[in-house]
Order: sequence, then C-alpha cells, then structure tokens
Amino acid sequence: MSELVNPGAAVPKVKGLNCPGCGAAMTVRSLGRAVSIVCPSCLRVLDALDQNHKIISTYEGKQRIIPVIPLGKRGKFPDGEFECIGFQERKSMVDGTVYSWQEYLLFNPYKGYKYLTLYANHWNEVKSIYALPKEQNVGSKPGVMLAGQQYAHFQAATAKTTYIFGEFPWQVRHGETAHTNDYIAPPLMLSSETYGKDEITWSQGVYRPASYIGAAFSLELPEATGSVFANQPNPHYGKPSKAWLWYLGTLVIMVLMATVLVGFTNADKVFDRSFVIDHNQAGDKAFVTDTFQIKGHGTLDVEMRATLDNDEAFLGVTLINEQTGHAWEFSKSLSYYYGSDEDGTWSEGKSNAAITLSGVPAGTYYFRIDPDMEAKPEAADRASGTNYHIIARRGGVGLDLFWIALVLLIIPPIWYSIQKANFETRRWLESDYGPDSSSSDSSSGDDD
Amino acid sequence: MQLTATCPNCGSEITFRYQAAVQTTCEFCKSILVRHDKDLEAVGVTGEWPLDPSPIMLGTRGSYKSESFEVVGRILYGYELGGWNEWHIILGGKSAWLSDAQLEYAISRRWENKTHWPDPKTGGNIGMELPIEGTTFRLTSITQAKYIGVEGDLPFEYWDKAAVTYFDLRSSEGKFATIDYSETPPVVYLGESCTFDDLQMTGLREFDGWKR
Repeated sequence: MSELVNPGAAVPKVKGLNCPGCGAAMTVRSLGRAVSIVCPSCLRVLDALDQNHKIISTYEGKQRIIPVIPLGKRGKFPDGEFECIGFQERKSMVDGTVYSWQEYLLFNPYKGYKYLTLYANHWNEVKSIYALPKEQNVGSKPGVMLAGQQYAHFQAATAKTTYIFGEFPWQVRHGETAHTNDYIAPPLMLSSETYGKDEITWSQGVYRPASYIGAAFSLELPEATGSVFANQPNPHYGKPSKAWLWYLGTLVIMVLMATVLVGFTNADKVFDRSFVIDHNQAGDKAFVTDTFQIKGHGTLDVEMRATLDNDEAFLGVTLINEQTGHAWEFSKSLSYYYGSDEDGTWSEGKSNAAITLSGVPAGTYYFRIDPDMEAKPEAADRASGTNYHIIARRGGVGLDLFWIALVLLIIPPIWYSIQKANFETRRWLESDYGPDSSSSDSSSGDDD
Repeated sequence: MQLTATCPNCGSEITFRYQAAVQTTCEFCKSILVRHDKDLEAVGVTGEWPLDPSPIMLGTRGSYKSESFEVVGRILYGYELGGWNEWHIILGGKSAWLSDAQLEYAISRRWENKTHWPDPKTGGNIGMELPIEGTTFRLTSITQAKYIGVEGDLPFEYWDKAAVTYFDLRSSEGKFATIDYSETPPVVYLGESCTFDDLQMTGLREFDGWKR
C-alpha cells in the first residue's frame, strides 16, 4: 500500500541508496524531498529523482572540505529544530579578488528550509522570501524596498558553486553560476540570485554572531575578528547620539551649577583702593601698590572705575606675585562722553571695566599700575586730578575646572562618533562603493 | 450528518469531507470517483505515487486569519525539479487551496474575473507587470507542470490531465497570483504566503525522530 492511502503511517526517517558511480552507501535525510544528492565517498552529484540516480556532475577538485557543522547535526533555533543536510562552497570574483564562502542547508520536515552562510567567521541566517522587493534608491545608491524597510545596494557578483556535499531540494551542479546582488539594512540583508535569464530568487539574511550559531548546534565556533561584514550591525550604533545627549545634559547641569555657585558665593574682597591721576605731574606715572594676601586657588576678579567727565583714561595694570614674580598683565581703556544735540542728550563710552584672571594661586601680591591720559588743552575741565578705583575679589568658584571638564567631557561623544564612522567606512570598503572599486555599477559582476 | 456513498469499483464505503465535492477517491482501491447526484462513477485510478513527504494529510485541521479550515482533498503536481501539493481546504465554509511547495506554504482562493490574460505560449515575459485588484504583480516564473495524481474531495473534476502551464506572479507585499491555463479561459488564484506556525495545524503526519 502506498504512503498516500495509509496516511497515518510515519515516513521512514532515512532512506538508503547506493552511489551508481562508486557503489558507496548513501543516506537520504530530507524524506523524499531531495532533488540532488552527493555521494559522500566520490563527491559526485546524483539525480535523486531519477530511478537510477544518474550522475549530474563530478567534482574535479582534489581537496575535501570539512564542514564546520557536520551533516546530520541538528540545531535548536527559536523557530524550531533544524538538521544540517547540505553544504556548498561558492566563490565569487569582485574587482579581481576571489572570495569564497560556505552555505549550510538546514531542514525541518514541517517548517522547511533555511540556510546559514559563513564567511571569515561571519554568519548569516537566511530564508527565502516570497515577496518581491521593489527597486528604490537609498540616497545616491541604488536599493530596494521590502515591507517598509529600505536596503542599500552593497555588491553585485557572479557566484560559482565549487564544492557540494549532502542533499538539496533543487538541482545543484559543480561550476553552476548565479548572478547575485546584495542589499543591506544591518543586521538584515536581501540577496537576489539570477540563474540563466529568467528565474530570480530572493532571500533575506540576518547577521548572527558565531556564538549564536555555536549555541544552536552546541559547537565552539570562532568569533569574527578584524573584518566587518556587509550587514554586520555597527557596535557603535546609537552610542554617539547617546554620548552627545549626555554631554549636552551634563553641560546644562554644569552651567547651572556654576551660575548658582558663582552667584551665591561671597566673593572675598582682597584689594580695594582709590587713586588719583595728578595732571600736574609730568612724565611716567607708574607706581606699585602695597602688598595684599590672596588665599586658596582660583580666579581673581579685578574691577576698575574712573570718574570721567567727557574724558578718557588708560590703565595698564600688572598683578605680581611677590614670592614667585609671576605676573598677570592687562590693560583697559575707560572713557565717558556726553552732551546734547538736536536729537536730545547723548552719552557714550564706559567709565568702568572688569577682568577675570584665572589660575591665581594663594600668595602675597601687589599691583603695578601705569595710568595714562592724553594731554588736554582745556585742562581746566579736569580740575586737579582724575579719581579711579581698583577693587580685586577672589572669584567664588574656580571656573578653570569647569572649562577643563567641558573639554574632557566632549571626548567620549567625539570618540564614539569617530568609531561609528570608522566601522561604516570599513563596511563599505568591501562593497561596490568603496574607494578602490573600479565601478559602482550594479552589473559589475559580469567580469567573472 | 456525514455524507456517505459506496465505491462502485470495490464496494467500500466512501465518506465525504466536503458536502459539495464533485470528485473524490476511494481510499481502498484508489479509484477516482466522479459524483452524479447520488451515484458515483469510477473514471480512473490514481497511479503509483512517489514517496510523499508533505506533513499535511486529509483531515488535517488548522486556522488562517482566525478562520478554521479542514483539508479535504489534494492535487499533486510535478515538474522537472520536483513536485508540489495543492491541498483542497474548506476555509470558513468555502473552498480554498493550501499549497505546500518545498514546505513553503500559501493560502489562495479562486478569483472570478473577466480579464484577458497573456497567451500561455507567447505572452509571458519574466518581469512583466500585471495589475490585479489594485495590486501590481510581476511575473516571476512560468512552470510546465505535470498532473501526477489526486486524492480526496475536489470542487471540480480533475483527472487524467496533461501538462499544464502556470504563470506565477508576485507582489512586493508578499501576495501572489497563479494563472492556471488548464482551462479556457484560464483560472486565476489569488493568495498570500504564510509560515507553518501561522497555520496552527493539527492532525499532521508524523515523521520519525521529529517533534512538531
């Protein structure tokens, strides 16, 4: 009685047959679905549908390849258990370089097939898809659209099958070539394969770290290092924006704290004196003040005020540390003019000025002051002299630290941004759009 | 109440799963039986079937988009690179099809239309666009299929068929359409692919060493 009219009967797990080429015993794992099967002994590809299992192609190479996942081994995936039933090595030539990768065919009698691809320890879990992606540019690159997701074109190539092992639900033969196009949206990849003129098949891959595949099959698999795969997720993805956000947040908090601290701290007045510029005195008016103490470490705010009546004064000031001789030199021009015309009264200039000196350590200090005023013909206006006032206050908060922190804190976001960009550069280096690519044309794979 | 009849060839009792079945097969002598009112006429015999790997069987139940279905019949097709099953299902009380092509599943329904379709021999170019009900489909493959066999209850007579041309069309949203040139004018089926887990099937075939 056939299988059909006795449908309750379980289909035998495996079916045995013998290779017509070398006579070796073979095992069929995919339960009547195999179209091509490879003799494990002589590596000939046989027609599984043909009663005599006629030979389809013969392996011309000498080397046997040991698959990383042995045939017959089952792996546990979130969507079920799958058995490794087929293995292929394929090669493609891109810009004169030959790339070879491996493809593992996995099978479950209820859920169907999936593939794993392996290149330089980079894995992809791949399923064929039924929907037909729509062509749509991604920025300046050609691309496709599927289910609302854009995929950028990465590479066109011609893939050639160079090694076959196990069984397949379609016809495989050594040397068979297919035109491939890869489109990426990490961690996803869409690939099209065109056989001959007509048939286009599409598949969708998800990048998997070696540890994921290793866990599924209970195998120790080496992790990919040193290279970036087409659809490998950028490990720095999202980090720069997060770091920039942190930076901005910290900045706001720091500015607020600095403002509050500066505003509320009682600035310690260390120097407060009035002087007079004697207009009758000729020559150099420079002099030094008495010494005064500054405690702690931080900034020093120096304020200068002059009593000016349609006049201007120039103050050259040097703060000198008595012990070390270290000097901070600065100068300010003060002026104040006023009057009235047809538009009313007017005034211009500023009779006071302030400066903040940073990094002033504790110690004994004095000022050297060099006041200067231009000679004025109508000297009567100035009376006997011009008064000015100098006040020095210890800054409440050392804002130097603030500036240092600002510079240090900007390093992580910049570093992450560079890392992320570097990774993308390395990714696209291998594509048709890298700097060394002879052509960015999507049909550049023709040259195989 | 179950609808039953007697096989005119071997006398076995035939139980219909689909009340409106036009054709069925005898599970014992493998006769293909066509229904005329209450009588059944044996019109042929299902040939030797190849090893059948589909996990679906007559009587398998499941659900699709919250409508339940039961598998009542099937047509098995073959082409140069294997075969596929079109399972006849009663989905929400209506006739529909569940295809298993290398374990890629799809549900489709017959689409009544008056459109002019391309000529099966000369009119099909891979990649050509065909709009159906506001969706743009593209022709992805032209298959010459052989009728291999039938089983169970079908909504029409289908036996002793020669090679049939199929146009397969797909859309970017995952919908598909099949133009079946076995009749004139051709019959069009519209459907959607789905996963095994989507269908929540029970009463499946068991495979030694495999859990569902």
